[in-house]
Amino acid sequence: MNCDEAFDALTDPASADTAALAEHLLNCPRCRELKQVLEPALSLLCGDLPAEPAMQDAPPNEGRGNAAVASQKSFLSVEAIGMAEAAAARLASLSAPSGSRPVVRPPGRRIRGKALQGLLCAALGGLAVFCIGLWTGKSDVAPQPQLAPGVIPAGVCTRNAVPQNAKQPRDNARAVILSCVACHLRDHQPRIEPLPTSLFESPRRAAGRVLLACDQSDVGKGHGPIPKTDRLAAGCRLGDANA
Amino acid sequence: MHSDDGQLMRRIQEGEFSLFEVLVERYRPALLRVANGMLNDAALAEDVVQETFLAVFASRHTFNPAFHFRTWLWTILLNLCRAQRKRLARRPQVVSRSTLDTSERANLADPSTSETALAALLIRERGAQLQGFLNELPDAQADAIRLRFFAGLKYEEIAQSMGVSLGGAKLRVRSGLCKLSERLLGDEERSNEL
Repeated sequence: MNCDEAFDALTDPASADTAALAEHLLNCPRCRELKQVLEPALSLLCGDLPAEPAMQDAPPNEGRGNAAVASQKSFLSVEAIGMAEAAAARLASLSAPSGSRPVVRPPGRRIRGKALQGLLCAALGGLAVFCIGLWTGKSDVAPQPQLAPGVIPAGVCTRNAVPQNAKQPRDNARAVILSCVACHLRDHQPRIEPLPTSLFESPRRAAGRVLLACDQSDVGKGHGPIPKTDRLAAGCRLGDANA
Repeated sequence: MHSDDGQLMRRIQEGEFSLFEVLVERYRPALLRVANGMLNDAALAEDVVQETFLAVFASRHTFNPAFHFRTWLWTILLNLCRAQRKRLARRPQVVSRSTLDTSERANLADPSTSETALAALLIRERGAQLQGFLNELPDAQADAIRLRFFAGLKYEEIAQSMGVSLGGAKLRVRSGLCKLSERLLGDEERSNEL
């Protein structure tokens, strides 16, 4: 029980003496103090009170001073029915789930809302154009990653670095392939699918695909069939062998 | 009882008008007590309670089981009492009789059983004292206390009935109780001094 629930229980004649409340009061000096402050009023309100005031035995025309005013009008007024209907409508709207409540905005606020929406769309559009511009600009000049010593950077032909290339681990196949691109595929657009850049594609699989592409595109240049097992290790030496 | 009230109202809406009597019997005493406290006039309170029930019956088609019947009923009574108070404030009162006088006569216990009579007298005195103190409070606080302690409404229902937030309803009750306690303590000190 928290302090809020304790206040509910404290002011509820039916549950003012529950064990949970007693336990909370034992541990919460603030609520204990509040109970002490409210005690006189609570004892009066929760004590015995007279039942409904009975009018049946009252003598006629006595005690009806103000009621005389009320009796001049009809017993059920239009005002009372209006109150009942308005109360029903208000309570129904309060009880409805927040999502289904109709939100009625004054016209001025509606216009302001639309203007704000327009501004927001324009701002988002501008941001999108800026981002696209940045992205396309960067794609032309791709940043060169910092490579570990001995690793052949992408785009550098491994033909000129045979001894180094031979020592490359198999998982560096991607760099090897990209170095092939520098010589074989740069000058003429291949009829092949673009270079695999997916992060989910393993380097070996990517290497296989690009080498296959090399085979196809370089058929006219005299490349023969390339033994699959030697593809990754040999890199661009294939060109030398055939030459 | 809440769902029961809702079901009864459903059946009344469908044409079983005799069931309305059950609702009247169930709520009339509490409504009468609160109305009496608010208007300080038993006869007028009885009229307002009667009008409340009639208004409920006349607009029964607007009842929706999405809300509690008793919240609706108490809201109507509260609004009618407020309207009546405004009317009374505008017009000069013809006779100013205390409610206690009327109810005293009606509730007078059998004199043959003196203990019962004394107890009844004490209860009546306490009731009159409480009504007097409540009338000294701001209307909003006094009404919130009446709805909480005499009508037995939950704070959510009080909030809906008075058109305030849940926190607002609790604050009204709390502030009212604090003032009431201060008033009672002050009264007690004065009587001790005498």
